[in-house]
Amino acid sequence: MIKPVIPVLVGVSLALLGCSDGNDNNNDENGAAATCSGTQVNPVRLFLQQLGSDRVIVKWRGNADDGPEATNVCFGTDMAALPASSKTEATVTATGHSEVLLSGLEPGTTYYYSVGGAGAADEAHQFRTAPVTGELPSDGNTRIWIVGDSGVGGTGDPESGYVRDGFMTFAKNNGDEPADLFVMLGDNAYNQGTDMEHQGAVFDVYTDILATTPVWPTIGNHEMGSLGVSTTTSPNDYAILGDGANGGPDPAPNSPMPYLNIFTLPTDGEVGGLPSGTEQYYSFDYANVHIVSLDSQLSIRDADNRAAMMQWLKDDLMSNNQDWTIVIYHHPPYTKGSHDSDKELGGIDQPIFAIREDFTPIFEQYGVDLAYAGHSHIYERSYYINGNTGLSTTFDAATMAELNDMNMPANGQGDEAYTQIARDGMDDKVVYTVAGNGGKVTHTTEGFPHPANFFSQLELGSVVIDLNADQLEASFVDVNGAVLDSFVMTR
Amino acid sequence: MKLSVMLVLALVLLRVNPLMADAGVAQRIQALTLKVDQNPDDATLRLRRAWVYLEFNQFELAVADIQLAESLGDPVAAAYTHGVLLYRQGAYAAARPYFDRYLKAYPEQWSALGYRARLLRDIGENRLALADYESLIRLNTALNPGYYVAAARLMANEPGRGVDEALALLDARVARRGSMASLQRYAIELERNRGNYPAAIERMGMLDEKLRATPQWQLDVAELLLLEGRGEEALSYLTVAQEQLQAGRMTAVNRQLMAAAQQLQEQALAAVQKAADSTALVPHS
Repeated sequence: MIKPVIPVLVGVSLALLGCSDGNDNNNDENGAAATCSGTQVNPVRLFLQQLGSDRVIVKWRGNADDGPEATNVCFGTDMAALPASSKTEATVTATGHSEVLLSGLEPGTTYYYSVGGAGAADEAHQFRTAPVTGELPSDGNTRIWIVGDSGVGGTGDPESGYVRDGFMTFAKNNGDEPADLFVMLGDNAYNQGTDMEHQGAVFDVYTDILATTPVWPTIGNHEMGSLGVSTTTSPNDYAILGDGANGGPDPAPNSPMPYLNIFTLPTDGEVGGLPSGTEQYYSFDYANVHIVSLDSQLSIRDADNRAAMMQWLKDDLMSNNQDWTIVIYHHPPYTKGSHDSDKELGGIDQPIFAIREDFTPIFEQYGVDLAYAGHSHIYERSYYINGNTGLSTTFDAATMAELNDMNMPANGQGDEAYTQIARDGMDDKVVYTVAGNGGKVTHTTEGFPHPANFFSQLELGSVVIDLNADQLEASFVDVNGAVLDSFVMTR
Repeated sequence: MKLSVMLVLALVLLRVNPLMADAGVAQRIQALTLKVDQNPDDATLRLRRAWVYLEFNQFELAVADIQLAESLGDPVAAAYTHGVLLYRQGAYAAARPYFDRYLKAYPEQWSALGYRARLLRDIGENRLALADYESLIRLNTALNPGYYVAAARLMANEPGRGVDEALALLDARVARRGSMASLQRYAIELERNRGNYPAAIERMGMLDEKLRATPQWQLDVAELLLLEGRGEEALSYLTVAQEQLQAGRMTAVNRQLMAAAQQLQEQALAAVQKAADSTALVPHS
């Protein structure tokens, strides 16, 4: 939610750093640039938002050591000497989060920062800005880590930590390369998406990753409270069911929905993409990939807001020129995991139908390459398909899937790797993946596996996408760091 | 809680929704019911449980809890839940007095205003619906864009209000919060529908720079120029669109745009030819 109380983030431009204005305050007696002189604070929650090629938002709350909260940040490229001129005062939101916008940064550059404004940074507090939009990172590879339905930490279960460790193992064994982007597919904090549950399920689980890697979430049914069964259409309807032992709605004047108060998401195309005017759905660019986050829980239930989101999506995709395009949302169009995409569940799963019937045609018509959802607590990956807007019984591989040389659905592996422009000469197919297995796997439903899916498995894990200019590889990584499924797409 | 009560509750919930098989959810529901049983006169707990039933479409169970809550505590507090329950059943006329009652006591409650706005629109009380949408917009400046389009649509068609006011509403939102294509597109539609093509074209120029770089934008402008009788200018936009489309990826939408560009080009050429012919027919003095 755009914060009405303190709407303007305090920003500082690195272009100013090192520039002499005749004031000696930033230099020591030898003329060297003075460093910050504050004391580093270890916040209870610390995370990065809206990282682009020239900007990032550092956001935090609390002091893990019970001292006073930090009120500023110092940052720079030399971990041991953060210049005094970089000191940036934070603004404080109605829910007690402090945030600073650091702008004027150099693309593809590692910066260190100190919450509290110390003269030197902890090595764990660093980030690397994105390359110039459309260009590749210096190592040639963008790594995206995608986790769905991981919010079990809020209820004390350890599985999301296992999944995180599996990714860390994979990353270490595959180029020793951390994620450039951390994507969350909704249901990030069970059971009701309260602020307290976000602490346990997000900030206490991914602490180190969040301090170095921007997080890009989408709204799941549990972000809307009501034990995940809410069918309301507005974040203003956020409510909890139960005794409130794990927290409740956020206080006025902001939204009662904690998700919207915790995350500071782009509404005005701050990191590329077309302005959406709402944090409920947004898009951004990183290097040569365009990522769109849709709101399948709220906007899609309301005809007016669905129409607005749909128009925005078309406009956003039309104006996108990046090499690769990925869409994320919570409700999967093709699943036979813990949710069945053939059933509306009394309205609770109606967004599954809306995504499949109204939105997958847009993805396919406008050149989306990959689509990721959660909700179903399983990993399921489709063929390279288009045109399946009906129930599972209507899926026809012969006409809807990319076929191999034997006229069987291609699996995306080896010599059956997908090409962005399919065999029919059109860029009109999408690989749909359900990755709602980031915190638990439960059961399958009648008709499992869904015929549109090539690979379906009840196994904890997450997805890693590695992409460059010519190729992307998407891997399903288990808790041991092993790859259980993968496919390649070239362009 | 008695074992039989727990069993019945579990069976009801499991029958309705496999989500309830989730241990955490089931535990929460059981804990809530336990509290209700321990505090049968607590209206707040009754209302909380009514919401559970409501979300699972167990309307009869929800009504029972709501009615008990109304008799036990503040009936106004229960009116919102009762209104939502009836709204979700499609009983709009029956729901309306509950929202009226609740909003009389809590006139700035966003959720109730949103429900009543939709309800009033759905039963054709557009003037009153618009009033609620305007209240919502006044209370919450960060509303999802769809609310603005809904309000503008009602306003444009409301006697005594009209398109100019609707456009002002959309423009105010854009001026306050920045470029929003979905609002500007509706404004363009309003101008186009009333035949004010120059204004529609001008608004096309106000769309985000990224959008203005797309072939779709070139085509939209060309179409408006054709409606305005400016065929020559339309042709130049169509030429740009066709060049962009040929250089772009072969997506389904681009293929549709190519066909549309071809069609518009034929119309534009015909218009230009017609204009030339009519000029040629004018006798020289």
